[in-house]
Amino acid sequence: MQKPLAPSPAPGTGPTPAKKPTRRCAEVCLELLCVECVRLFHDKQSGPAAAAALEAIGYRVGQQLVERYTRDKPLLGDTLEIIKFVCKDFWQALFKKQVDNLKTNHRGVYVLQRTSYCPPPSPCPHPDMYPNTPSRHLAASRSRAAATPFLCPHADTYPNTRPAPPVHPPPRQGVYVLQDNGFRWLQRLAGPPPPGAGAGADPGREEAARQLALRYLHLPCGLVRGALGHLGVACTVEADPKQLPSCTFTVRIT
Amino acid sequence: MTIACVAFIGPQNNPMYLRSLEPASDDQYMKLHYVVHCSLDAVEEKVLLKRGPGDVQESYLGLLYPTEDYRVYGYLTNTHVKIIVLLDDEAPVKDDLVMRVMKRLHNLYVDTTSNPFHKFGMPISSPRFDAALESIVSVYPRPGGSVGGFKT
Repeated sequence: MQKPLAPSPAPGTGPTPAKKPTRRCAEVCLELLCVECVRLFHDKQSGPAAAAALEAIGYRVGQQLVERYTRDKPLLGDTLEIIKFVCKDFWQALFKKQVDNLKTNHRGVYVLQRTSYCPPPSPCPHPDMYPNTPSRHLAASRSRAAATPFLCPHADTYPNTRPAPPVHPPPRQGVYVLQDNGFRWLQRLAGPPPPGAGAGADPGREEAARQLALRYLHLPCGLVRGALGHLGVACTVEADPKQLPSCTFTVRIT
Repeated sequence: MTIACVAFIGPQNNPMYLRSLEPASDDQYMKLHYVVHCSLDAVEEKVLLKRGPGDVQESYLGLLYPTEDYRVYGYLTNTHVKIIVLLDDEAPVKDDLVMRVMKRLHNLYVDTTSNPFHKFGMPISSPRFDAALESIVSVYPRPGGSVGGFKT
């Protein structure tokens, strides 16, 4: 299915010059294929298994597509550049538009907030992170911490002037939220708004549509995850169709 | 000037493909593996050195280093696949000629990965890939062949 995607001219652009034949494919074929894929897997397997299978397909296709789409680009550097590539070029190639909104928590901020937080005592999970601390020191602090439960276990190795280091692995993960107001693969699901009704006129119907849309989002989730993973950004992707046909993809870097 | 060897190295620095373009014994293959292995350090170094703010780095890394017998050229794709080409160390080489060969090798790799039976990160073993690679490399004159103009 990766072949027809690559040269996807907009329908109705007229015939290409005869001397330069390009491979073309009607977009509706691809849409029907995706719909049929989803139906087939949900018929054959129950919920989570079907979701996993669809995501695996998406992952694989994402890998192949990104290999092709990054071919003529200069080297992408850091994570942000890779995410931007996915938002712009990858999205453009797949869904014929760019992502409308990209939000990120700049991960440094979160770490800064953490500095004043003194975690409850626990056995130090990273003794190798503090190689200068003698083990008896740790043991002592641990036993003292057991007596006074909310004392920082590293208070003696790190004087008060310095903030306590987080005991748990620092939250280094970045979160990127990709918002697409008008996700192409959900356009058909959205349908026309009910006549004469305001927003949220029928919550039950909206919820049903949302549940239905979730089924169709495993494949694009896998696509995005495969693309990012293949470029060296291991992550998880979650999709949330809030108001059809808009959709947000949350990328959590692991 | 002839291409002695072409190698594809995966993202985890795992060898995916290494082929000597001349008949080679096991010992010679061992030596080629060694040279290619050493070149991976040079690839990393190039990427680290060139990376500055606002810097655009091309995929083509140019001459990595010369050895006694070969000159090693490198190419890095966005998906962290390294393409290493060993040239016999004879006459000077035009850089853009090597670059063109690298681009074609990259295109070949992309086409190969589009095969649904290809597994990412696994060694490439496909007769079509071998044949296509030979046709790319044959742009250069073989040792016994004429030293005429290049087909491009």
